[in-house]
Amino acid sequence: MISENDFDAIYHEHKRLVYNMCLHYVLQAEDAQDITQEVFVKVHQNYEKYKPEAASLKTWICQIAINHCLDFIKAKKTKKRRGFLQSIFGGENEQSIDLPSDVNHPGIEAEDKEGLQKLMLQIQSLPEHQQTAIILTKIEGRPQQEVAEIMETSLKAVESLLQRAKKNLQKMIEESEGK
Amino acid sequence: MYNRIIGYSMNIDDKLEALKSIKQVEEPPFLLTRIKQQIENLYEVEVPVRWKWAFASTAILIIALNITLLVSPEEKTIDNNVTEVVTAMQMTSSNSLYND
Repeated sequence: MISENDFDAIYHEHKRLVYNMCLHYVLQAEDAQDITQEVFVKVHQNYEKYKPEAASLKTWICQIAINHCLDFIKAKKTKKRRGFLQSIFGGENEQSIDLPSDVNHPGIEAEDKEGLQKLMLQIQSLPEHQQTAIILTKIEGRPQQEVAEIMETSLKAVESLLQRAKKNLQKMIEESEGK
Repeated sequence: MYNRIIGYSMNIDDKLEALKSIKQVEEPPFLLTRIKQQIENLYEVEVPVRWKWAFASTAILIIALNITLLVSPEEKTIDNNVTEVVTAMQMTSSNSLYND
């Protein structure tokens, strides 16, 4: 088992990275906090399974965080779909599930808040891999090689994902603008 | 309404460039305390499987022994020789201190 001092050191080195990454995915400060917590618990539990020869610690932690975020978004979408179906087929006694779709990202400043929030929501609706490629390269500013390592894919695949993501985003923006 | 950064006329690359204006934020306070508490709870609840098996087999053994004793109560006859020795050595289970 990992010692408390080692775990503390890992936490302090990666806390901001994980929390901000979670924020970019889930767009809710409270959810990002919960996911960050789960990520570090998982790091603690699985530290003995970590293989330094396979990936750096930072890459490994990023992969855990991304998987947690994507699972969270998937679960949220399923819940939302179920809530929608319940509202159609369910009786009057059925309680509607409260799922706020607004954005609570403390990193988005007031000046360009509305536009950025809308863009972030559009990024969230992209397919998982495209979403990850955009978040890691465009928001976090990571080099594509590092993104390829985190996503366990090739550099060309990342480039292709980015192209497709841009195309899809362009389409979404045009649709929302009513072009 | 969009502002000048995310304007309608901008192409997708310009819009994505605007994402770089998103600032890094500090993690919430006491997060490490919460994480440690959750880890502690996890290990408290989780009893190792080996222990569970050891406890179960011990319990079964004790129950089996009790059942065996209850089902077949064989009265042991005390050997006469033993009785003689007990009497000779005054090893009786009497509460009186002195043999009057």
